Amino acid sequence: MVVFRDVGVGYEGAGHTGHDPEHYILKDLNFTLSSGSFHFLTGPSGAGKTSLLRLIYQAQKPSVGEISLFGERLNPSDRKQTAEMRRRIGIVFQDFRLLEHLDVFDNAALPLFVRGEDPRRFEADVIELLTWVGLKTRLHAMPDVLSGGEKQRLAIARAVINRPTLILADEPTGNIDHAMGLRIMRLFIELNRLGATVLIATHDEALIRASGMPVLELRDGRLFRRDLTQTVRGAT
Amino acid sequence: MTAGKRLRRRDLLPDQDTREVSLHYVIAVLFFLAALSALIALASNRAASGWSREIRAEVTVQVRPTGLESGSVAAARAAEVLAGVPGVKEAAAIEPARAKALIKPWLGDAVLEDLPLPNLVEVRLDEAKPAKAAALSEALSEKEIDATIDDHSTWLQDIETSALIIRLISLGIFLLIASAAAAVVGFATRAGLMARANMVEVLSLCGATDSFIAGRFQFRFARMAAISGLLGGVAAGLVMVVIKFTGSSQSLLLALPFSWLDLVVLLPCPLLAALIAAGTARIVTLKMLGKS
Repeated sequence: MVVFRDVGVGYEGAGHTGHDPEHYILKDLNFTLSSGSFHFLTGPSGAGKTSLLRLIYQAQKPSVGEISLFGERLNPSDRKQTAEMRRRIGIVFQDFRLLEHLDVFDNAALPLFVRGEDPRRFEADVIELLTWVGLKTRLHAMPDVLSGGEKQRLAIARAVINRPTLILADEPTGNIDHAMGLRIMRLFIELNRLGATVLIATHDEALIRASGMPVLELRDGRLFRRDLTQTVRGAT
Repeated sequence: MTAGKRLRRRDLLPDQDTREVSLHYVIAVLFFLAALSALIALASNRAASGWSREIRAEVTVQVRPTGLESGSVAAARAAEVLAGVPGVKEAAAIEPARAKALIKPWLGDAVLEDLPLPNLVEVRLDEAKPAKAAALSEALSEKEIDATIDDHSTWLQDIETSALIIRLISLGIFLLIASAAAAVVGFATRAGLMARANMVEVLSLCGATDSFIAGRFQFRFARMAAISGLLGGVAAGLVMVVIKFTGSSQSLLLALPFSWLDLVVLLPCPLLAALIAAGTARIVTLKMLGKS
């Protein structure tokens, strides 16, 4: 499903170009997320969790190494491939990334609309999902009147509306109360049972403990399986 | 209206802002100028064709009397001969009084009395099958009439060259204005993409292809340009109507003989504007997304 081989990421900074391995923020990433797996990704702030997710959904190119997704080697310059891959990925962003000029329904339905599906066919599905995340009464509200928690839930609904085969979530429960957090986790677990591969970046240790799912941890730019001080190869 | 239908109707871009209102105005003005240049091209072309037709249908013959024959008698005889040539509708000697009247505005009364006037014959040709100058010359030679035939070919060449130049200038103006409209739309597309970079990124992360995103901008600018093109075309049409109906503009109408049929040329204005805008918006968007 997701394969990283010797992947490193560097940023351009004072005195270096970003291609110097000494200055990589992520290095020697070698791991595989097999199809249907569920992982948490954790690590201190600035450890590179968001960067790792961005590598997977191709918002960022690796400085070195090779990434494969759904059995295909990623080619960042092939924009058609990027679009096709992204249609199979549901992404929950830490900063929600809602479109302010679209209401709740339209934001949630965006991935379906982008895929050219007929709104008459997906309307009931969208309403059902928005009901599940507790936004049924807010269908026509604009994002600027939603609370942080409501925006979070809307972002999650948008990420899963097209039943993606890979779900990437960056702090998906960061802005919602514990009860809603558990509810959202149940949704991810249910989608995982239906076959989706899930990778959730989070700081929420209580959530990690409650789920009992395997944990990948980023430390000093390297990826470890929790409680094992070894770089992960074949995470599952 | 259900939510789904609302989404289907949207072009996904936010409603237009004040910058786009200014853009509407600029494109409408450009298409007004383009439409006006097209109307002027048609009218000037028509004027040139009219003048050419008139000149083609007329020949002037200058007769030189021989022997004891007077100039006016020689001219009358030449007119009689020419009238019988196939392809000639009418031939008549110009009376000395009329010749004097024609020259008077340039030379005045004082000089005219002593000035020897040429003996001229005015020949009107059959427009469908005009007689050739050679045939006229041959007919006159057969009757031993010494004459020079002026078929106005020098003038005709000048008029046709002028008409061609006017057509080329009009086409050039039209192309310049159309390219200016495309440049304006290109600039607006770039500005729109930069202003909505976040939105474009979200669409892209939701799996939108570059072509899909370009399609949103293409649709937005095509719709806007179509409305602007319509307004510009209507304004140009109104200018033409005013010129046609204003009595004091008779001299202008002689130089630019507008026809009601010319209004047809304004019909494709909205479509043309939309095509230019859509093409430009698509090219610019794809180019920018490809670089991102």
